[in-house]
Amino acid sequence: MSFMKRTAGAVALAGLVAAAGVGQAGAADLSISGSSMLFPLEQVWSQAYMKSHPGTHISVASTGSGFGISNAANGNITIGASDAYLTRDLKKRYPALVSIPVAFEDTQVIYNIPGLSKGAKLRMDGPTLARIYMGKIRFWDDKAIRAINPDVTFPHSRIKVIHRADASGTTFVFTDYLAQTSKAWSDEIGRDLSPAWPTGSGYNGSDAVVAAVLATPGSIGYVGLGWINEYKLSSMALKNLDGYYVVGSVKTIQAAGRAALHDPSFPDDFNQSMVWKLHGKDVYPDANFEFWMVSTSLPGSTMKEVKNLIVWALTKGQKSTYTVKTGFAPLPFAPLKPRLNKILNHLLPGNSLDIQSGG
Amino acid sequence: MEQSVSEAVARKIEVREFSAFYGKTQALKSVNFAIPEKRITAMIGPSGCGKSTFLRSLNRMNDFIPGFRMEGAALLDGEEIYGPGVNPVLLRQRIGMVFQKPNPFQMSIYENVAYGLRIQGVKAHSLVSDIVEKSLRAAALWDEVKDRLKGSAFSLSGGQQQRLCIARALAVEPEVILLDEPASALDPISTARIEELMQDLKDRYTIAIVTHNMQQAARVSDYTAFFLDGALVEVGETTRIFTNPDDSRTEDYITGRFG
Amino acid sequence: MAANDHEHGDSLLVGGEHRPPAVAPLSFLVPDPKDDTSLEGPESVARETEETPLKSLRRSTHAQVLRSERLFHLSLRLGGLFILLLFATVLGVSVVEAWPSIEKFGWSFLWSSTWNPHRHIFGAWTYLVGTFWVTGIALLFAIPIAILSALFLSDYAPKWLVGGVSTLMEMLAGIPSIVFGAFGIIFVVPLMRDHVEPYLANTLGRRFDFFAGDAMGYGILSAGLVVGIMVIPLVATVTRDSLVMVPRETVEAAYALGSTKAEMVYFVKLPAVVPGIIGSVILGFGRALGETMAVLLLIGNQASVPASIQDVGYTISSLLANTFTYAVIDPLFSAAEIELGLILLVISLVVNTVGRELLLKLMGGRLAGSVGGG
Repeated sequence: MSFMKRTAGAVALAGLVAAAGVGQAGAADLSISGSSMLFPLEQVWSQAYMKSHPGTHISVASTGSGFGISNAANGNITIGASDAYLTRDLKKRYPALVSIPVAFEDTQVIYNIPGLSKGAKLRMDGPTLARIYMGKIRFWDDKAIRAINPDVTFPHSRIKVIHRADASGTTFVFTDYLAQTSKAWSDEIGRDLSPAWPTGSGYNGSDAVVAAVLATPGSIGYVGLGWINEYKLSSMALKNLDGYYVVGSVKTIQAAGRAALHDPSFPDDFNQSMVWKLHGKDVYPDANFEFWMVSTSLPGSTMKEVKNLIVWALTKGQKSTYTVKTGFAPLPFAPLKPRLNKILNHLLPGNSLDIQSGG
Repeated sequence: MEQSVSEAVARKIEVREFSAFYGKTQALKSVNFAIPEKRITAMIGPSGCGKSTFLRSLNRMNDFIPGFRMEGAALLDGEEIYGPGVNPVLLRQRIGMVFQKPNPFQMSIYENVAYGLRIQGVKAHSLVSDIVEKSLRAAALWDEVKDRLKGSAFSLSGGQQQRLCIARALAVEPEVILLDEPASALDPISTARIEELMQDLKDRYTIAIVTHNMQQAARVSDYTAFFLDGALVEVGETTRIFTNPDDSRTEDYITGRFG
Repeated sequence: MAANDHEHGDSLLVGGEHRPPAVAPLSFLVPDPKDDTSLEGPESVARETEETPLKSLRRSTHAQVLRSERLFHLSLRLGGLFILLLFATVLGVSVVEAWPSIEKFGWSFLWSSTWNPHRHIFGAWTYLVGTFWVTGIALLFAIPIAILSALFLSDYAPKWLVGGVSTLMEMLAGIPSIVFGAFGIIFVVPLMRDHVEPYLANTLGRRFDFFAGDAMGYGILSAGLVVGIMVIPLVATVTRDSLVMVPRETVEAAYALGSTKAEMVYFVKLPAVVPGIIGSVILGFGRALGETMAVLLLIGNQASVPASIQDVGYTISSLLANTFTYAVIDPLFSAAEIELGLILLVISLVVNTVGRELLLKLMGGRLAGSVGGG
């Protein structure tokens, strides 16, 4: 079977290479591939951008963050889309890659508990969530869960852990929260796009996770903001660094983003988690940047096009008709600007950019 | 015309005004005929004359052919073969049949012969193996296969396969054995063995054989019936039919003037 | 009459003016006879003297015959060579790509149940077991039903039903597996979760842990059953075809010995089609082994060794489908996944070979009989 997969990959790759090749000749063809989560946003962006920039053609593909990262690094595609920042490992493997944040996302915990009173607001903290996902807490009326939710009456029903089966940025952000709040999780499983899940059952894609949670009494799962909005799901309030329980929303995610960008210790290349570490009453503790990965080795003419696209995406592209509608929270431009300028200068050295005029 | 055989022997099977149809085609036309007990009766005639239809009507094998229909009466020991209460499965245990092409089952030699016993629920191992041996001996095959009873029936030669099929038919101890051109697919040596075998068997069984081969009919049978266009033209002692037939059509046929 | 017909036929062959010039395009296959004149001598002179259109076109020398023969053989050989090359390439590329994993883990890859990309430790055991269970459940479910339906179609169904059901069966075999997967999610999973699995847990499950569990619907049972549904038409069609091929003489022999229809079918027809059934089961096994999409949707994709029929699991093919695009980011990770693919390849090779040997053995008697008959 692996051969079929590889062949399919090779065919897709050949297509992309061809697209990139044409791009170099005309200097106006860009290919974006990677994260399936970013894909809907990239689609509306590319359509709007091509309308306002008739000379440019953008092809968008949903191939998974891993594919996006590795193929952006080796030049098969122009831009690799990823839900995860470049970890130290990846930075070592792909030194030419630069990450550019393009939107905010988050991961939220959803559930299906039979007999729960309507309108009950559930709270969860990292260590307890980690123990659930390690199979150590097996019933909804476990005293650890009740201790966080003193006002809720839980049934004595088995917890059915549901997770993603495919490699996914959502999973990375989710396990990031677990790893930063639970030493046991950090030691035994860690954060990963596709970790070795100790228990539960896996589903391919967030839609399947939602379907499985809705169909399985007693289940718990996780998806991003877009799915919460689309399926009108209720999610758990997660405990943040300052001890507040916060439900994920455009507002609380942006609060997290602002906290990160205003934190002088947050790295200039954005390659650090914004999960858990941020202070603030409204800060949702499991939010993340969505990234475009670009290789510094792209030819100059292509790089100019890429820069124009990035600047457009970060300014006009942040309108909520693009971002919120496809399940993302807009980036606040002002606090982003200083770090972004450095990155763009790194991509096109000696080329002074005034990105305020952007687009 | 009432056809009859020598009055000295009992009539094992008797048909009266027997007609058979395949859909709208009439294959047998009001045949009146008796097959004598413990004798060999041969049925001859050109292709399509109805001799095989006649034979297959006796053990109701034609029941499987869509559109088959009969009129008249066929009797086994005076009982209606096509009577309302007659179960063809039980009838066929009394009237065995061997076909033109050897048709062993996809199983061992031993199991082929034991098949009829198995479906009748005979389980006792010693009884089954006694009957298998007895039947194989009766079919003159025992010496050739006794060392490889567990071997596949398809490992036998065509002649051996046909004798196996005879042994298989004998094992259920029928009263009548119908042979439908049993040697037509065999070489002369195998044919001779089958003919010998028939002589050995006629002391205990009533045998009816359809054959294309007139020499064979003349060699093996006691009585011969000549069919033409679905009608029985003539029946009588074989020696008489072949030397002094009553009907000119019979004479034309056996002297090779047509067919 | 007959004699006239013959003459007429012959005249068509020799009569030059009837010969249509349409044969010309073929002439590239037939070398120019002038090339061979040096080989021939007097004969070629004789030929020129009584030249007719046909004689000038048809080949007349040994070398010409050889050449067209060679051309045909060459193209056949190229075809065969291509298959061989393709197989060697698939195998070679896989081994090369899987090498880092083969080198690092050795044989222990097969029985290690740790699969942790984060720590760079890979073992196939859980996926092998999952693959085994799904394939096993699928075949256990499919084979009896397939054989029964094949028997129904070949011997019991009324004529007007046979054509329709057979067509339906063949259509069923062509439905994309994703459709079966979706059917599994909307029908089989709820059925298992709400009815079958609680029932199993309360009956057999009380005595055997293998049937116990916490009803969830997703898992090896649902995946196995749905793959089984996909295998049924395959096994049923091939089995029905071999049942129909059982010679009428064999069937008549059974009836003539006083068999009822059931006895005929069970004791005579079924044993005769055993090779066909085995062949179809091998086909079904391959289908079940490689089935990806439907399994991926239903099995619960959890890398744990199932202890119960109600548990979730993971098969090799669904793991590859889920994670291969991600695995390419890490050479050892992707090597381990390709090694899993290699294992699938080897398993299906072994099963096919063993199946073929078994078939040959079963058919041996019949073949020997037909060769030595007389």
